[in-house]
Amino acid sequence: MSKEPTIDIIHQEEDGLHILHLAGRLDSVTSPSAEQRIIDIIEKGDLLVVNLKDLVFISSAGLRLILVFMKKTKKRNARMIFCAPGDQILKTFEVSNFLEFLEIATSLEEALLRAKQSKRKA
Amino acid sequence: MTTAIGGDGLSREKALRGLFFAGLLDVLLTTTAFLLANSGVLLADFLKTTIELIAITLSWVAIRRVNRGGGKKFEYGLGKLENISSLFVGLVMLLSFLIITANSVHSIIVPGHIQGIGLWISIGSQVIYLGINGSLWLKNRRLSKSAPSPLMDSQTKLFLTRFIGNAFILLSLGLSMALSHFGWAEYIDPAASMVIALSILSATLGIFSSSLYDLLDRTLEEERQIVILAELARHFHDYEELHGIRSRRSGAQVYVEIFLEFDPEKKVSEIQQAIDAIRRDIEQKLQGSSVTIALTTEPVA
Repeated sequence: MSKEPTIDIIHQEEDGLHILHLAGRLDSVTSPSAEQRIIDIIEKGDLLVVNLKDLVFISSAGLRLILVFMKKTKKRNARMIFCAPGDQILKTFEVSNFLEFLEIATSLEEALLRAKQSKRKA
Repeated sequence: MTTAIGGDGLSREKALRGLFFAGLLDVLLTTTAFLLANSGVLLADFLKTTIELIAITLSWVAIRRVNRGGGKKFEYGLGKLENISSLFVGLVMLLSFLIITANSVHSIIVPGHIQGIGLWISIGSQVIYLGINGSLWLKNRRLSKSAPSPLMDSQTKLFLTRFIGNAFILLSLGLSMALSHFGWAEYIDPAASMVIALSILSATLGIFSSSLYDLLDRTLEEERQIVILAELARHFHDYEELHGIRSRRSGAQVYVEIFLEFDPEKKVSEIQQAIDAIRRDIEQKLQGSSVTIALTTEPVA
């Protein structure tokens, strides 16, 4: 029997910085449950880091979600930094032109450093 | 709903008209050969060419209607008309399979050598049609690549099957006649007609599965969804929010609805310009697509 795809979302908040760890698959099955939860977090914070290290797959439904998140972030003049995407995820972002507007850091440490620098400037 | 007459549609119609007359001649020849010989293979060949003529006639009628606009006479969309035609052909093929199978079983129980002038008529026509079907298969494959649709796909497969069928019938008749002094050669004809029956059954299953699949309104394939998102990403700064995307396919047509929110401070002319650019870019990238962009400020399911 095939296992139902899942997405695990871990949310941490440190000093006004919201860190989201996504693990699993972001597709048409998992996107609906992830959407409202992440939007609620976006609406709370001005600075978000999304760790994609354990995200193994993203479909068009997942891409649509990221587009929605980026639009909401931009509307609130907030900042969202994605970090540590695997080769497959990065390739998907590339072919779908998402690299034109996504801010990507190679590791969580780099993303946190950028976020902290951004906070200091603010 | 109306469909504009396009260069592709007209060339498809012209190709199908040519195929209709070629098929008609083929049916006349196979009918004569079948009536003048007691061969199961020739019965199978007659039924097979009749099926092909029915398929071509229906496709021709469907394409003519698509090119001239369906008006209000066909309520379910012209894309579906193609699929319903394919399903009808599938039913005729299923019936032919049953007739050929019954005849083959009878010939195995009561075997006999094939004979009659019809065999020579068939051999002559198989040689000619081997060449004709080979070239028509290549022509349809080219058309199918430039304007993909379930209809053109089924035409391409049909002519490949005919080409292989001609070679097979030629071989079967040749062997039955050359080896007629052996008792077991009586079984070549029913065995070969069973092979033709099975090939018809296989093609029938393919037509049923693809046409039924296309008849159901369904969402787009993943790679096409990504094309839409890639264009929305390219125009990221032109709109304020993405509230939803709906897409479906009906036959060869693709319908996309995108729900966007724009900056209320923007002029109507600027919004119109952005909408036109997004719509144009997606329609260029997605062959056979019709894109509608709706303005909304609320999420759409």
